[in-house]
Amino acid sequence: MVDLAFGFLIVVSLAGAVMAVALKKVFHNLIGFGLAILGSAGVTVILGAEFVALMQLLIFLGGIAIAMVFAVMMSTPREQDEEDRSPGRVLGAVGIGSGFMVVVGFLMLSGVFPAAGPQDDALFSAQHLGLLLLSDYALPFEAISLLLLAAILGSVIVARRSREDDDLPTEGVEGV
Amino acid sequence: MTALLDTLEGTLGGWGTTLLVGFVALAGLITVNAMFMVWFERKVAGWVQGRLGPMEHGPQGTLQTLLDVVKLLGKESIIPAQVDRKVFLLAPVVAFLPALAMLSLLPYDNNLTMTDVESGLLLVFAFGGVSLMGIFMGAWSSNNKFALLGGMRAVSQNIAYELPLLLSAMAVVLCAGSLNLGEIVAAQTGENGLWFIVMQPVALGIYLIAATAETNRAPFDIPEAESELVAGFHTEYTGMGFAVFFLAEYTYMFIVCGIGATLFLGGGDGPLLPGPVWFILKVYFLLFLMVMARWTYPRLRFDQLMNLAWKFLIPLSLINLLATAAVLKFVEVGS
Repeated sequence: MVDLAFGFLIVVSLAGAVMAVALKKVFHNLIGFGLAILGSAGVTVILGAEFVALMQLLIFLGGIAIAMVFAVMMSTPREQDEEDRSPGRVLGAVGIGSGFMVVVGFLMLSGVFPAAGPQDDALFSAQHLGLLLLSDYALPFEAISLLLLAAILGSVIVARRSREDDDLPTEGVEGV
Repeated sequence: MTALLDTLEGTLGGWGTTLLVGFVALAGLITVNAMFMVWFERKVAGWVQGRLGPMEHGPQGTLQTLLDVVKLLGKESIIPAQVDRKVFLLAPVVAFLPALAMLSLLPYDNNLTMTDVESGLLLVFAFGGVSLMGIFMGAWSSNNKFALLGGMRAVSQNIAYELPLLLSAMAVVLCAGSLNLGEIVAAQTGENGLWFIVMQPVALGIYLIAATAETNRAPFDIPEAESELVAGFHTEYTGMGFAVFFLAEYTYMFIVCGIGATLFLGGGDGPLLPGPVWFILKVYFLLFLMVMARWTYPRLRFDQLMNLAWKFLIPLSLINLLATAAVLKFVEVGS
């Protein structure tokens, strides 16, 4: 039963991944991305890391995919035909993708990430991960929060500048 | 009843029986809840406005929604020519399916949770994001500017209100020391148990406001504001497609109120009556508050909506979370 579910989820993730790169409309790509995230979150659950899977759903689907929706707003309207992607770009993407795959595959095979045996589920619990983030991995954790802070400040500055550039009056205008 | 269950177990096995019984129970709950809520909403609206509400069919118009359902089932499903067919047809399903999973996570009683997940609370919020994708799929594929505007508003509103929703729930999680819904209830019951509404009144207020916004309910119903956007993201949906979106909305109301009852009102905790009855009573009390809010407050403007979330609710819930953590640490050190 578990094997069947595992295989199904793998197929779902791969199908989603193919949809995410192969389809022409940006929104269809986005749906494929969501599907891939759902599938791989399911795989993570089966591997015993429930909390990690939930965080993946919450952040990638609830956050990143939804943020990408804003990009869809700026995509080509449905009535117009999309242009074909230029071969140079496709080649570049394939090159980067397969390069990443080779590096990760090499690392996995070389034993830097050893194959996980049967382990205690508590290793992946919220408590355990939280403690690790505030003790052993405190520095990377803080570095990431610094990065996020910089990103937030940057977006505020970008938003403010574009507002100042507008000739429209910003005060006394009803609504947005 | 037992004989029936035995026969089922004989043919389907224990696992299949659990799945089938759970599925039928949830489908029943979803339908009955939606039919009751529509009637209840119209009744409360009537009373608030000094009218009677539906009166014609059955005592106090109780059969009104049943007849509405029959009418809706008989309606033609129109698919406009210029929509993105696959996404258009898939959207109501994607919006609705997570509701089924979320309902099975609620702790109806101390020993009655269909699927007991270690981080159940997070799973509920994670599935909320999936249903939002469904709403936006419907909005985009409709190829209609009102639908697209509604979808845009739904997305930005949900991003803004998901933060205070999660942060207010996290304050309760700190008090309970667990993300498991059953354990959160257990922390409020028993000898020294205290419903978290006593320790976390601020979080409850934030939760209710954010939950109302997350379910796109008035006064936060700008994604489907009928006076501006026809019907927002479901403008182009007719017949069953519309019915499924509608069903999803009422089911999500039940879910957020169920989580609210679990987090703040002790779940199935209460004297005399059995646990599930208490749970349902608390859920419908919270739903009553949501209905009253709809018929009391006017719809917010979009900028007011964003200001409320980003400049008031999020800072307040952060302060609340910080204060909770500080007090808990203080108590821990003191004892």
